[in-house]
Amino acid sequence: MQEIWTEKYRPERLDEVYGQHRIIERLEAYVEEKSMPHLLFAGPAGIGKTTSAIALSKEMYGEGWNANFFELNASDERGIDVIRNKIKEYARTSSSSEIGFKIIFLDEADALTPEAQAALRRIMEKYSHNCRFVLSCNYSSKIIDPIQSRCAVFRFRTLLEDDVKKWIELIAEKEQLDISEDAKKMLIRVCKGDLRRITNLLQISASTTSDITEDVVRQSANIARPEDIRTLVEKAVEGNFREAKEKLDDLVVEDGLSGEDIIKQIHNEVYDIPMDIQKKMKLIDRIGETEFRLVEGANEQIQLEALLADLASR
Amino acid sequence: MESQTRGGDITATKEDWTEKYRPNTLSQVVGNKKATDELKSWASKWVAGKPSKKAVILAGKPGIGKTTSAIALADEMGWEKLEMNASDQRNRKSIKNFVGRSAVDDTFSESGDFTPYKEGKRTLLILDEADNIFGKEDKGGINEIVMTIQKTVQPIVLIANDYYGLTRRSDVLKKLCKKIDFEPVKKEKVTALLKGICENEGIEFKISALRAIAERCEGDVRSAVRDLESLCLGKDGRLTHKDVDALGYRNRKAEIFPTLKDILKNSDPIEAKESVRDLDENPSELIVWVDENLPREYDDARELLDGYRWLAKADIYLGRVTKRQWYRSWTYARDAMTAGVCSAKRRSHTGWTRYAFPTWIRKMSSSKRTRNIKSNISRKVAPHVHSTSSKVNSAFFPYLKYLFKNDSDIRKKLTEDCGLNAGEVAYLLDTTSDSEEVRALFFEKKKETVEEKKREKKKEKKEKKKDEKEEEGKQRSLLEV
Repeated sequence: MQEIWTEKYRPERLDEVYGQHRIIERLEAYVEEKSMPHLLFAGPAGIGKTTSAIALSKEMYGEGWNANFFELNASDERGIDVIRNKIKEYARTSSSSEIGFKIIFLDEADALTPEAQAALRRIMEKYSHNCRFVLSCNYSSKIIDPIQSRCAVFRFRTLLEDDVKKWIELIAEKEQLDISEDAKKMLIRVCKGDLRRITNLLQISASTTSDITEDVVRQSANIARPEDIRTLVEKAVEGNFREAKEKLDDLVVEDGLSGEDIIKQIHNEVYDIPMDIQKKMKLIDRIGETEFRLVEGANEQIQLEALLADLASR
Repeated sequence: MESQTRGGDITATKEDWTEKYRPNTLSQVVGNKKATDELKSWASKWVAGKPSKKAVILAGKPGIGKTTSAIALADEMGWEKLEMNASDQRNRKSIKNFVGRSAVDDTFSESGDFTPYKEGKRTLLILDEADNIFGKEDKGGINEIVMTIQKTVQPIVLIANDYYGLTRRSDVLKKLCKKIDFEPVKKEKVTALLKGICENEGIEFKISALRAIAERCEGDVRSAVRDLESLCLGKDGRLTHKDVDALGYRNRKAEIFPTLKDILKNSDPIEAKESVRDLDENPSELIVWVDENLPREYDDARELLDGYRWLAKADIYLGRVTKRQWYRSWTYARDAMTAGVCSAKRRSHTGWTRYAFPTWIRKMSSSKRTRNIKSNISRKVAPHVHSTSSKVNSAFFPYLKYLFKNDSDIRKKLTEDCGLNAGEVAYLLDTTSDSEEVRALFFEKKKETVEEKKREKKKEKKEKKKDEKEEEGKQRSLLEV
């Protein structure tokens, strides 16, 4: 049976987590010491926050980790009642492990309402002999100060390209995939260090072939060749509306891309196209405006053509 | 909703450092001597009887010793303690139950065996996180607390980060309680505390590392102890300044200033855009910072114009996130407020510029109280003028204020009909709630109602007598038949 790769390859151990060396070093020391403070993990998606929390628990408790680990995704249950009832109840009961405390993992804690966060404050202190909290969030500014004051704050950083590459190669080896250098570059470019997204894309790509080329990745991700987008924009900027429009039609008809796919990608590529910076900034604003119109239900064809005409007239 | 259970656990759990090093006596509390002295002198008045203020509010930022002081006070005085905090539901009923267990009124304590009140034993009620009693989930909570303070024979401590947030909900509460301010703790004192902990734990350290931790905590002692713990647990060898880098900042100022520099000083818009990628700040907050500091850097009229054009665009994109739930709009908002604003430069900006914390946030939070009063008045008045509270707030308010000030009949009528409280009346009259005018208004009102009631009672009595006579008459007539 085929498993979801993001779970299949989720690191089991702390030393398998990529690119967060200083943080991992501390977490390993906590395992060694069999003790830990409350923790707050902050940082963008797909760089190891949840994985680190689970791996920490697995290493801390070994076999019976599941019985001592309580996970709650705060964006599903975000109100004060969850804290006052569910969490408090769990925090009150003591742990049976030799460690003495359990770990409560509140994923996406920035989704908790301020009221719910307030209710958490004294629980974290009064029951610290029973449990330690690990909170994860994208933006720590959404976590109220009194909670931050109670936690050791670890900021997870966006992964370096080298680390992302190593990750891709690890999966390639395990799944016996042949991934071309261009395909790797494309993956890195599209996913911007989000390992979860990369893993998903790889699984989709691998479901059709084990020979992963740039084109395979592109098709899985619904994106055009960067060169095509570049030509499209450059033709328009040169004032050649007709050719730009032909390119656009090709992308829609042959690559089966939607207007939104194309506009998003123009936005991604435009920073790398050599162009006067003032012009470029205006173009970016125009792109944002066009995408907004599409979201509002405007006609893709007309809006994109209008964008090209606008570019051609400058 | 249970009494304190600290220190009594028998498992092998390695104790959390912020609990392990929580002071047990008031004199161990780091810094805040003035506050703990005040607290102590208030408590000593309870030994003889009842002080004029039966409750205190300990106010101040997180992690500087408010809860600790309250618990230590009870221990030092040999009092029982009962604690209620935001993890408990605190509506009218649950507060009543809670208070009932603490023998708040004489009748209970005289007959009950819980607290031998007459022997000078007291129970300290600790209402932690009192500014987090919520309107919806904890309905009636504040009023019940006010009533409890009024009738209590036991000392009560309320604890809050936001003193105004708590007291604006009840003038009476504000009057009933003594305010004791807790201040952030000086970094020398924090360093000394950390040093003591290291020595106790047998940890080698460089003093510069401890200073760095103390520096970053900005007066929050608990977070300093927490940071020390997170760095020292399982550590081999000496703690150095470099180790401290593993910690993330709680305070975002330290991270946001370099980004502002990339946007406002540097000339590469692309770099400015990249700069926010790792910044832990969502665009709707970043824009406030850019807004505050843009005019500090851009002095040329044209630069200002273009800079603000971009900022205004960013704002429109942010609006679309909330209005349309179109989250991708964030990327455009971010581009506009970083690369866009950056690209508005017409000359190179060198030298040092003093960037600042957004005054807007500060002003908003300090004017929060008055804005709240104003919107409360508008809400109460709106139904009487057949309008919405927002219309009253924006258009009708100046007239309302004028009429209220100059026409005593209207003042009386509005106060009664709309149920305005003393604070609100004071706001409309531009005076304080204990001023002569306000008191006159409420005193008169009281007198009137008292007299009305007397009159009504007399009337009732008369009617009763009349009824009785009639009844008597009826019965007699029955007998006669």
